[in-house]
This record gives sequence, C-alpha cells and structure tokens, in this order.
Amino acid sequence: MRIWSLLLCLCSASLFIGAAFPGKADGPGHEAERIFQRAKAEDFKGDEYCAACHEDKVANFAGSPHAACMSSDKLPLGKRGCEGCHGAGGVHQDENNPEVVSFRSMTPKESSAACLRCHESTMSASHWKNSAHAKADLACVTCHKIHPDSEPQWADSSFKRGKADDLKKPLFTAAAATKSLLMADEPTLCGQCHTSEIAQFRMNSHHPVPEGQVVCSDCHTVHPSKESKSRFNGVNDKCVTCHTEYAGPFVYQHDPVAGNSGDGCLECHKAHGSANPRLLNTFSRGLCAQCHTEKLSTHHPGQSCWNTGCHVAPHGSNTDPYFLKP
Amino acid sequence: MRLNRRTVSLIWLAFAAAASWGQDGQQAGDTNPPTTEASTAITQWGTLDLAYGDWAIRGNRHKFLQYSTPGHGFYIADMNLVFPLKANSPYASIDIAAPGLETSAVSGLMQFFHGQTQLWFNFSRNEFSDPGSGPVEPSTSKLTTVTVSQAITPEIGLFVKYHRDQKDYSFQAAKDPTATRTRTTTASLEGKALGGDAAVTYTDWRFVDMQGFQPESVQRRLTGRYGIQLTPAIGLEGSLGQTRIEQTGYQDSEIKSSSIGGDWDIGPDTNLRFNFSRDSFDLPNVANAYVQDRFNSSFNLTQYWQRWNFQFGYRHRENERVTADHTYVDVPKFDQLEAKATGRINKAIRLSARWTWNRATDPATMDTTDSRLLYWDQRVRAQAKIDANLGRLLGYATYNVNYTRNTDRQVDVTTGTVTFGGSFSVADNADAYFEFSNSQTKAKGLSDVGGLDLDSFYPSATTLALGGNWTVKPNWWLAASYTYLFTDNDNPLLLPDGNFRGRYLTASLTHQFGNGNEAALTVAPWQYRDRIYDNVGYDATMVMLSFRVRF
Repeated sequence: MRIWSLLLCLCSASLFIGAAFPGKADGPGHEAERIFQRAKAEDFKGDEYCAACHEDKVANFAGSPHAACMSSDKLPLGKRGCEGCHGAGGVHQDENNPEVVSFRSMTPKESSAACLRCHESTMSASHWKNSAHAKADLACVTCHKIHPDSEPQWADSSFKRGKADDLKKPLFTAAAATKSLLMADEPTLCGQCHTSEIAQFRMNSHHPVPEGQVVCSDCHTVHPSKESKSRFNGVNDKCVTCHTEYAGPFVYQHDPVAGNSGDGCLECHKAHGSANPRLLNTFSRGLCAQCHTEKLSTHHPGQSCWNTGCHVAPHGSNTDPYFLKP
Repeated sequence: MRLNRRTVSLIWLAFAAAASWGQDGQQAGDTNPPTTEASTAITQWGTLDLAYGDWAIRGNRHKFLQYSTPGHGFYIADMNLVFPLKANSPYASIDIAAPGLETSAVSGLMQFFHGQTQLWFNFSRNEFSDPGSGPVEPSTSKLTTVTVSQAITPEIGLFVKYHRDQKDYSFQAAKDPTATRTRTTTASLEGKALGGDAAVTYTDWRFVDMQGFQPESVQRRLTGRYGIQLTPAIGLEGSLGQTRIEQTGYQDSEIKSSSIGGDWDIGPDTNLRFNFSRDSFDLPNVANAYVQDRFNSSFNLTQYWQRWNFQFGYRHRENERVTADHTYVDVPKFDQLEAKATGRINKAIRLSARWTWNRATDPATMDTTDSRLLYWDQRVRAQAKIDANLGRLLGYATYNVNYTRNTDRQVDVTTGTVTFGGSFSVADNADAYFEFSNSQTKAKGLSDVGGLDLDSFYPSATTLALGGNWTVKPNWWLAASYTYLFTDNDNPLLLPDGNFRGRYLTASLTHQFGNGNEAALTVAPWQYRDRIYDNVGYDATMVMLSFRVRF
C-alpha cells in the first residue's frame, strides 16, 4: 500500500514538474532524421563522390568494422557507406542550404539519436536515454571512434584528466589492448571521468585492470543493450561470472554471499582496489568482527578468522554450518 | 638500480641499431617533419611490437608476480592486424599479445556477408603467484570465449556465446590448491516482434571442482524479455526467467524471476522510470535461514533544467525469509532514497553531487546465539565531484563518504576518501600531471573486553601518482610516472601486507621514425616494502626495449 502511495506521489510530482518546466519542444524527430528525410534518392551519390574531397577519411574508413556492415547493396541508400551516417552527398552540396550530419558538432542527444537510427536494433532509444552516461550528457562518439584515425575531441567538455591527446597515453602501461571502435583502452577511457576508481586501482590489492587481465566492461554494463538486459543483473551475479566457485547454492550459506543482506559481495570486498589483501574492506579479523562484534578478541584470539585453519570456507560450505570445512 | 651485464649490452646494441636505422627516417623527416598529427593520419593496417624485457628482481618474487607475469627475454609484445581486403569484402582484425609467454592473449573479430555474420574470439592465459613469501607453485587462469552473431532477417538475430574458464590456483601454506573448470554456453534469439522487441535466451552453465570439494553443478537458465514503446512518451518492458540448478548428490533447486519496468517522458525535460522485480528461490538443500522471495521496486525521476540534470529516486526491497525446515520467519524491509545533481556552474566548471540513504525499516530476526542484528541497518553514501577546465590547467576533486551503522550492536563505521588531481601544460611541448588519494576510516561504538578495538583494523591508505610528458625535440618523447602507496595500519596482530610502502617509477624514451615506426626504452625501478616483514618486499628494475613497426 505504501509503495502505491509513493508511486502516486511521484507521478503527481512528475506531472507537476513536467508542467512547470515544459522545456523546448523536440519538433518532428531529431536533427539527423530531418536531414535524411530531406534527401531524395538522386541525392545519394556513393562513397566515390565523398572521396573527391575527403580522400583520407574514405580510405581510412575501410579499416573500420563499420565499413563491411555498411557496404551491402541490399541496404537502403540512407544506411549505406559514408552517406549512411552523414546524410546524402547531394544535401551536403546543396547550393541553397547545405547540410551534413556531423556527429561532433551536434548536441550529445542529437548525435546519439543519429547513431540509434541503425543501432536501435541492439539498443533501444529508451535503454540509452535512461543510462547514466546519457544522463551525464555523453554521446556515442565521446567514447567510440567510427573512423580508425578519429582524434578524441572532447569539445565543450571539461571532464577529462588532461589534454585532448591524453587518450593516446595509457593510464596503465600494461592495460589490455584497445578494443576496436573505442577511443582508447578501457581504463584510460573510463578513467577520464571515473577518477577515484582509477586511484583505487593503484592500491596494493586490486582487480588486475592495470595488468590488463580485466577491463571495466567485464563488470560494468556501460550502456544497456538488449543482449545484456537478458543477463541476470545484481552485484553477486556479476562477481560469480568469474568467481564461479562461490556461485553456490551452498548447504550452509553466508548471508552476504547469498545476496540476502545489503550489498552482497561488497559487504566484505571492495570492487576496484583496497589497501587490505584480497580487496577486503577491513584488515584481518576486523572484517568479520564488524558484524560478529562479539568475536573480535575473545573468540580464539589469533590472526584472520579464515587463515588460521578455522573458518576456511567463509563464502559458504556444504559440510559445516560454521564454515570450518568446504 | 642494478642491471645485469647482458641487459646493458643488449640495450646498447639495440639502440645503436635503432639509431642507425633511424638515420634515414630522420633525414626524411627533416625534409617533411612528421608531426604527431601527421603520423596518426597514416592509413595503417597493422602494427608489430617486438620487445626485450628484463626484471632483475631481488626479494619476494611472488609479490611482484601477484597479478600477472610481464614479458621477458625477446618476445612479440603485440601484433595487431586489420584485414579490409577490399571494399564490399569481409573484415577481420586480430590482436596477439606475448605469444608463448606465461601471460598471453589472442583476440579478434571477423565479419562476413556485410556484417550479417560476426565472430569474436578471445583466448588468454595468465600466470601469477599467491603473494606471500613462502614457496608456492604458479597459478594459471585460461579463458576461452567465442561469440557468433547471425542476422536471420534484418530485424531478427541469433547470438551464441561459449565461454570456458580453467583455473588452477596454488596458495601459500596451509591453504589447499584449487582447480576448477567452468563452461558457459548462451544462445539468444532477439528481434522485432508484436510491435516491440523480444528476446529469448538460454544459458547452460557447468562447474566442476577437480578436487571434489564442491559438487559438480549445472545451471540451466531460460529467460524471455519483451519491450514495447506504447506511445512516443511511454515505454514498457517485462521479463521472465527460470533457472534450474542440479548439483551432484543433492536435490535440484529452482529460481524464478520476473520483472516489469518502463519509462515515461512526462515532458521534454522530465522522465520517470520505474521497475518492479521479484525473485523466488526454491533451495531444498539449504540448511540455514534464507530468502525465499525477494521483491524490489524502484522509481527514478529525472529533470533536465538548463545545464543541469537532477535525479530523485526511491527503492524498496522486501526479503521473505524461511528457516532450515522452510517455514516462514520474517520479512526484512529496506528503503532507499537517492538524489543526484549534475551540471555546469559555468563553461569551465562542472559539478556533480550524489547522495543515497538506505535503512532497514523492518530488520531481520536473528536466530543466532547472540540475537542482535548482524546486518547494517543504516547506510549513507555521498559523493561530491568537481572538474575544472582552466585552459592550461585541468583539475578535479572528489570526496566520497560512506557511513554504515548497526544500531543493535552500536557499531558506526565512517570512511572518507578524498581524491584530487590534474594536469598542467607547462609548455607547448611538456605537460605534467598528479593525483592524490587518501582514505580514512573511523569505527566507533564497539568496546571489546579483550583489548582489541575494531577501529584498529581499519587502516588509512594513501596513493600518489605524478608524472610528465616532454617532447624533447620533434619525434623524441620522454615520459615518466611515479606512483607511491602507503598504508597506516595499527595491525595489532602484526600480519604481513598490513603496513606497506610501494614506490614505482616508470620512465620511457620514445623515438618515432619518419615512416611512423617507433623505438622505445622503458626503465622501471619498483620497490615494495612491508614495514614489519622484510621477506615480503621486493626490489625490481624492469627494463624493456621495444620496437613498433607500422604497416
């Protein structure tokens, strides 16, 4: 009952806010859609027409995974080759009102909408606009490069750690190779904004991101796609993707590991890096004692609760209710 | 820093060779100086990085190899190839790193039929060591991932992924080694259907513990999802899932999941998002109290206003628990409020602040010797972050605070972390950067009769990173970075890895020849010290000479 009351309050508040701050009307579709709708069939001239002026760009585009996908004759004209993204050459060269879809000069919202003309088959506009990255005013081209020679340009953006060419300098020397279509290797790219997480990776105990064995997207769904939506979500499900030995279910479960309390694995571990061994939140037996307070020093004083041959299976056990055996 | 004679000789030889080879390129460059911008404009289809590496470790080798094994001797550091054979042809790219060495990887992408068929693959091997000072065998992790996607029609696609994870881990005494194998096969059919988009996914997950400590386990999971844009302003999405778990020697378990959510554009700048989900667990083998039904609901209101974005959210969670004999126990409930504001104070300064407050409104009943609540019943998390772009100086500062409280047990834990840093363009050809982070934790409320205090188990930690890049002259770059770690830990039980100091200096000199090829020398003296145990620390002087060919 309480939830429905709250929902009613939120909806009322939303309606009030929506009415109070109407904003600008979006008009008929987005900018790219308008430019494409303007084009007639004869305005689409093909890649050779573009190469007359943009020879390097056209040659370089052949090295992009997009090139193979956009070269099919079966595709509609508005989704083929250079003009599939940038609009018809005839419109670009129109004497009266030349227009082109320029991803870097549009607003992030318009730029992303232009990409979703095709990519809506893998990620809906709704999924994208509700992602934290869209809400932070990022565009697809903030992180992705479509032309292999694209230079990172963080126009009108201050959320970068250094100069625009910072992305050419990996934050971690041994980081994993840059994936195709990304501006840089993942820690360097994500670290432009997520600075405190990068600082955590420098700590003594960390997930091996600096060593190139793990990348950010192994754990984080950077933007929700339909494929990733179909996976199980939740903190623990993410962790047991790699730490499969803790997937259980165990006969004797430890509540945090089973996801029954609070933040799951994060009740004991830090996700990125920690000063304590094995990414623990706390050092030694203090970890267990933060909940099991009565066991701090009077219960078998010694070292860590799990290292002294006692609670050797803290994640769960099939044989012992006190996790003394696996 | 101490280098062995062979390494020094090789460095001199290689640089002499690179320098003489570079003469032609440099002369060519003199007539048409290759700037950084010009070099990136070279249309290239591949790179080959050849390297020589030496570590010169003194002390605890296992700590140095805690996460992976760097390349050593002569090796192929990286080879990257792109095959766009011609327009309208298949596309392929492949990346090979350190083949034949302890830590290596091969990954790639292939596209056929204009991208209608795509194949991704990744094979990697990593060798590392448990970081203690005692004798231990190397641990290995081998991963295989192959993914195929096939467009059946322009609007329907099939996606199949196979993943194998082989882990053979060795630990310091007295922990037993482990050997596990996990195979995951996922098949997903997704596309447009019934005016919306739908997906059906089947996953088969198999786990084998080679030592037999854990039962062989098979999880079969079937999920379905359907989403539809009802109106331009309202979208809905629902999903159903069922997982069956078979464990050798145990009864089968089952998990059923369902969710419905959506979003509503109330206005051009206002959006409401909501989600309800339920997970039901039937775990007949679990012998202690567990959650039988989990219900989550969440609402999030987003309002854009000029250069600002405000978000308000509410989450509610209920866990229906049952005992070992599967009779009803209680329904712990948790409420969470969230707020976030992000925007620009002016064109140069961006500010972001977020806050969440989570509390247990109906705490769980504890069926333990000490019946006081074992869970945190209050949590507050807050973050303030500011970025500034002041032309030559770019800076950022972040402050995070986490507060958790267990009211029954009178424990409060507060952790504050400050991180700030920035970069400064010293001149057109030089820049410097730094980053400082310090984390402090205070635990209060617990007085223990045995003389130990909970607070003494929460160390403070500091990391500092600074460095710079200098274009010494056209096509010659010098880069250096220094990272410092320090932990201040009471460490009342005098355990290793509790009070450490790490100093990591990495310096490299790179030269780019006129044809875009590069030679680089990297020298990295690293030092790790445990201030209680000498035998845990190490000194290493890594030297790497690499030559990158672009073609």
